Amino acid sequence: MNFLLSTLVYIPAILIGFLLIHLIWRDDDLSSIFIKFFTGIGAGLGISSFLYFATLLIAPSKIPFIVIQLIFLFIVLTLNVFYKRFPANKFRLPKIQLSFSTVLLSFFLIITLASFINHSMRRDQGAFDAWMIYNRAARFIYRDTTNWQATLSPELYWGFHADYPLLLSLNVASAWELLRNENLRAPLIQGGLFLIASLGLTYTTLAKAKGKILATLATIILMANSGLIYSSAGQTADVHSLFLCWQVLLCFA
Amino acid sequence: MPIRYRLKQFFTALIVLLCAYASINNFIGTFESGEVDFDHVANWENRFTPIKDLLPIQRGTLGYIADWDIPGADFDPSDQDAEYILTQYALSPFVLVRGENHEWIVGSLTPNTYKQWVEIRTGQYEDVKLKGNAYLFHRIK
Repeated sequence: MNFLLSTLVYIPAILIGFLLIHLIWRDDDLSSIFIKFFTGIGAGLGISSFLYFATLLIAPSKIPFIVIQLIFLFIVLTLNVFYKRFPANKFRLPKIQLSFSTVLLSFFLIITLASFINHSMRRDQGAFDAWMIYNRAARFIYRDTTNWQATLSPELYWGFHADYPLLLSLNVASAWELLRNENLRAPLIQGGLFLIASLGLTYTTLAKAKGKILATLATIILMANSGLIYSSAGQTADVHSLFLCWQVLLCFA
Repeated sequence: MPIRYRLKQFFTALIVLLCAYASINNFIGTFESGEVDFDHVANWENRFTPIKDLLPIQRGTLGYIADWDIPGADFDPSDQDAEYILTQYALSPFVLVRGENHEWIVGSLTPNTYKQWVEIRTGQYEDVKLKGNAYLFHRIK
């Protein structure tokens, strides 16, 4: 139940990201829709984090953040409808072909997800960086929202990296705000979302630009990297940074 | 079949096999990440979180002392660093600053270092001992 709820709290953010990219990028073939979806995960979490930051600056603890998220989602959805971005005749269901590359990719994906889950079960509070920087900052924000700037206190020991960007921490704090508890799964799901987004973005972008074989090979190489699992399950920012750099690079591919 | 095509096939297969080996190794490695039923972070938190209920304030800065602040004490610097970080994590949103220049001080001391610290400060502080070498000191005005 905890796991399901922690996943659901990120759905509005993902929808915001996807719909905003869909509104701007007018390419409706199926491969582009998938690219938009995976890009939308990162973009949505980024936008959501910024919205929460603005809320904290303007009116901390006054308006539930989910209300602001839903208003923003409604605006983006309305703009999509207004600009006729949902032409029913253009959307087709994907044809799933069971090729060797699909089987290979599925095999590696299962191992990667199994590694992620197994590592998470054994270290559900994440790695050293998670409780030193990101989840610590999330606790400062969630536990004392009106005084959230304490997380930026110059008095904090340098190792707590009070100067680090609040992208992850704000998303975790806003998830906790909605769940009304410090659910340990919330930061973990965020790590998992960025992992899936990075893998999905790699595959879909390269498949569109260079073909499925090369995309499969590149995604397999990425999944074989141990750092990818330990960083995402460890709730640190490495996979998020990878995603953002990857997003920029792959847009040029 | 041209040799170039054969080489391409060979190296692709080699990459896939190496990646499979690495992925399976990664999966096996995750079993060494810790124990499913033991959470050392939560364990540490259980020792220090009761301090928050003893404090008359909801936020602010607290002092922090540990074995590394006691002259002549035997300690592992990396352990001390990790304990400081864990204590800060447990006591958020209080800001923990190393040193004694605060009204309230959180201590993570072994029995010997506790005795040593208290001996030279008799009458200056009142202290509460919690479980597992966790202390809260209050400076007497």
